Amino acid sequence: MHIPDGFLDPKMSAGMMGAAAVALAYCAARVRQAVTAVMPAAAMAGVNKVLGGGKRVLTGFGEQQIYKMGMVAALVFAAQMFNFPIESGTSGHLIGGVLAAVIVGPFAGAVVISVVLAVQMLFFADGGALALGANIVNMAVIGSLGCYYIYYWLNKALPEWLSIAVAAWCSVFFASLMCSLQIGFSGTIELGAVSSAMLKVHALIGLAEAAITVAFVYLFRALTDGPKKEDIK
Amino acid sequence: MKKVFFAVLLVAVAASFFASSHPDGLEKVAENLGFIESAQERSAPLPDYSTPGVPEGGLSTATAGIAGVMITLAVFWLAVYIMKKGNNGMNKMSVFLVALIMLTSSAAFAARPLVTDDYGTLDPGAYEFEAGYNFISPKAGGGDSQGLVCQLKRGFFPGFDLGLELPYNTSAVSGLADAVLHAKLRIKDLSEEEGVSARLDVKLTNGDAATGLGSGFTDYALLLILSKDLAGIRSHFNAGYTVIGDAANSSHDDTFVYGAAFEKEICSGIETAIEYTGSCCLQRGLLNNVQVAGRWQATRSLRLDAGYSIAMSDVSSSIATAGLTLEF
Repeated sequence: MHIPDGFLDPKMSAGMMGAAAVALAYCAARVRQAVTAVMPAAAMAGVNKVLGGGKRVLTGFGEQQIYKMGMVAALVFAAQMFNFPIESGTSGHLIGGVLAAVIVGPFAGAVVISVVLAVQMLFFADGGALALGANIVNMAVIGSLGCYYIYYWLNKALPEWLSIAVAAWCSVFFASLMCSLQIGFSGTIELGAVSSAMLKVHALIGLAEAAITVAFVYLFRALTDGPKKEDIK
Repeated sequence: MKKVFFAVLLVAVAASFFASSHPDGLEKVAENLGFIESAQERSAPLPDYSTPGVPEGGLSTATAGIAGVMITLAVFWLAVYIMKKGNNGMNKMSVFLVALIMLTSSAAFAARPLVTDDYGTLDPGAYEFEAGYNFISPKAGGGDSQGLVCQLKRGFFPGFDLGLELPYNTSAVSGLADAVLHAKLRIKDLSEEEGVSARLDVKLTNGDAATGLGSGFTDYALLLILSKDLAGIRSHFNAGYTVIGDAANSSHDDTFVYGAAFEKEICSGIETAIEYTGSCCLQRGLLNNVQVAGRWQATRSLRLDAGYSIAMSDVSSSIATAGLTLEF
């Protein structure tokens, strides 16, 4: 679902770039807050004069958390390379938004997906440079941050695997809906035509997303120590 | 984490060999509804998850995939590094970012800092702005000088563009020097990047002749330009004749000018060029320069460049230059 350059008009690209920047800045701030702590006064005694008070430094837990984000990003990147065939002549691939958000939390999840999208855009010509903002909004902000809360609320009533699956399906569906809106309002093609075609094919891709997400969440937990209470929520 | 790492590599390699080659959901919809043509191709170091130089197939995708996994991890390792190092790490981050952009942007066609021109002309309605700063030091000694040169070019109709070059001297005598009007017409297209053009230059007399910024006379020059691809190296050959308006000045008379430039893209977005330029007039003898230059496509529309032109004959000057080109 990586939008290439040329599908969106400049106004839409710029607007989405702005929206993505605001959302990402907030997410990055939340992550930074979680992985750093204000240096204790005693340790600051000597350094205080040089650095000024109240400097936040990376905690040991924070460092591990960032490495974990890196691993999730690498996993999402690798998993996105797997194009599974769906109906005639079409393939789909994982977005990984819910996968990342369930493992490292919604804000870190959005950052993780954005990094993956940026790397794909820069090194692999996957997704446009001008369309990066739109892609981040669709897959990181909606697909990861937004759909995390679907998982979060469902998890209170349903078994966890089911909440993950539903949230993962929703992430593909809503991301494709947003993608259709962006292309439709850019005037590239009629909104009705693109949205019905997009939603139909992505409703199917969403099923695979749900299955892969559930499998990978449990795989990741099995290979590490499982979920931690202190994860960035 | 080590176990996860190996699992990730396994997923990347497995995905490379089993991935379906069909278009994905969005691409398929774009194909069916007929707007796939509006997608713009981009260049990248590992385009479409394949490694350049490795035969297409699972292996090519797998190496690209492993590279992608390492790059993604590196971003987060770097984040930890920077957060530990504070500001010092920030500087290293900017170096990394610059290197990243250099690696990933697309390539461009000939222009600054070469003196030798290419045969191409701007599309109708397109603008190109060039600005560069030159440090000039005559080989025979004497006053060094510096100056800013700006040029605005616009394409008027297919195969014809017009440029206005404004040199601004910032040394001892500062001010606007004589402006030059360039008109370039494509005569013959041999292929997409090969052909023949003619350029007419008119040097105006806006500069103050009393302070040496202008000559006070209008000069004309006619230049023939040939661009040709020679074994993957873009080559440009110029030959022209300059009619100097100031007939009385014995140190400056009509001049035969010539140049040859060779450009090669060394990696995506970065080009190196070498050129030989010279001019020959009876009164001053031969002027020869050899310039080595580099050019970097920083964004789709912005190009940065730098070059050093070495004076090969006693009467010419060495010139160090750095500048930018903006297309819009």
